[in-house]
Amino acid sequence: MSSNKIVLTSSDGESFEVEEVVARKLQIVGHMLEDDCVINEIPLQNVTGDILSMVIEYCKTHVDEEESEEAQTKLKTWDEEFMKKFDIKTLLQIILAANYLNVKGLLDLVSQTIADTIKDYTPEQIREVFGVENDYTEEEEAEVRKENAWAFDEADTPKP
Amino acid sequence: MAPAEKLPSYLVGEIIYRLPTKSLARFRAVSKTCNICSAGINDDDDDPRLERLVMVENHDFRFCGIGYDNSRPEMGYKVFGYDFYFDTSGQLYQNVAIYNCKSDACKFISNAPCFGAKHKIDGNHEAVAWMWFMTVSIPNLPRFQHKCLDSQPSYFIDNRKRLFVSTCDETGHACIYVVKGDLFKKIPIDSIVGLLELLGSRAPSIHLTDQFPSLFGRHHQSRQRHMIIEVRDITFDMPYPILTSLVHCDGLLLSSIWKKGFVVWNPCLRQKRLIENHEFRFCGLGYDNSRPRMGY
Repeated sequence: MSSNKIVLTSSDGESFEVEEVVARKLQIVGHMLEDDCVINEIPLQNVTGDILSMVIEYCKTHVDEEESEEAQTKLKTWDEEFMKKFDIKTLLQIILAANYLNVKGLLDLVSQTIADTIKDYTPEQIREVFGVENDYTEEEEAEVRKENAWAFDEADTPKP
Repeated sequence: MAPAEKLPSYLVGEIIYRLPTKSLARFRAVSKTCNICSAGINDDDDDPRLERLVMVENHDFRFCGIGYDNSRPEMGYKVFGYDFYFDTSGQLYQNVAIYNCKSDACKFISNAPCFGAKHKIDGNHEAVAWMWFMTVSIPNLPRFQHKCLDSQPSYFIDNRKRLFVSTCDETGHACIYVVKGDLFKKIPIDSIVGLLELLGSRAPSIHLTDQFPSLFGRHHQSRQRHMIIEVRDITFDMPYPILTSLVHCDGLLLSSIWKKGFVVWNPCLRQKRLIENHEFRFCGLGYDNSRPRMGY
């Protein structure tokens, strides 16, 4: 059964042939397979090929999640290296894909990575990256900044 | 650079959930929505929590009331106020009151006239607590000693309707009283570590801060149990001789220093901030989750 091949097709028509056990890491695929066992080609409308390939890379690596500490450490290191490759834009694409494809481990990983990436951003950068409209008036914004001035003061960064 | 696709709100929540407090405070300036998100999702569990501490100036009493509305939305709000006063013999009494009220009502509730009118204060060394949805009456609760004015008790109510009072007992030894219903229990400070562990296992979302005054009142040691934050031992070496109160909220410790100002201690960031208070009289202090601020 695990040798079964599944073809995943991205929104831009790119196809990936993966083992069923890998494809099942995408819970969306897992559910489809449970509903109808004869499916061997699955179109994934919301994911482009380049993002899908990264998700698949993650799933392939995590297909055998061993309990041993050594294996866990190794996986963790791989995760970190894997995430380093992406800029914030790509990370946002991946979180959307991980959410749509329902890959829990990747969703957690990429959420944490995004949080780590943006934690030192300024409000302006946050607006730009997340496409958030600034609905404060100048006075309101100044007030909020004043109230939270401590969070803007880099001299206040925690000293261990 | 074109803005990224809008993330569904719960994905934004996933990210915000993982951000440190300081970033959250900064991102409040992003937009009004972010302000609300940052205020609401900064917590250790899934329930959005808004906690506020409000101290309202009270001219009639030695010390003002403290109120906070606590956490869980389904519980509505509760405000916890306490007052200290001297009677004619110079004896110090204490009364504790907890009110259930709407958020905006806390200003009224914490006022002394309301307090005094609603609840008769008697001088029989009683400490009476009105607790949310329940009444706690402890006629035999030992009188708390207040020989040292800098060792006023600190209070905490957990979500199991237990009231914690950290103070000195009759002999001046630091201890903690745990009150639930009409039962109370005194716990010497020595066993505090065991207590914390016990609480941690039984009430996972507990926030507990205790104030342990030492002999000279100069050093205060606080231990805090937070669901995720490990027990931390924090030693205050205060440059000021008198620490009048220590309150806590969601990982932040706010210390008010009589006539001096406030120190805000954030265990997450391990930093202390001194906020100068130019008014002689004790003023109000409001705290809205990750945003410490002051009101007068």
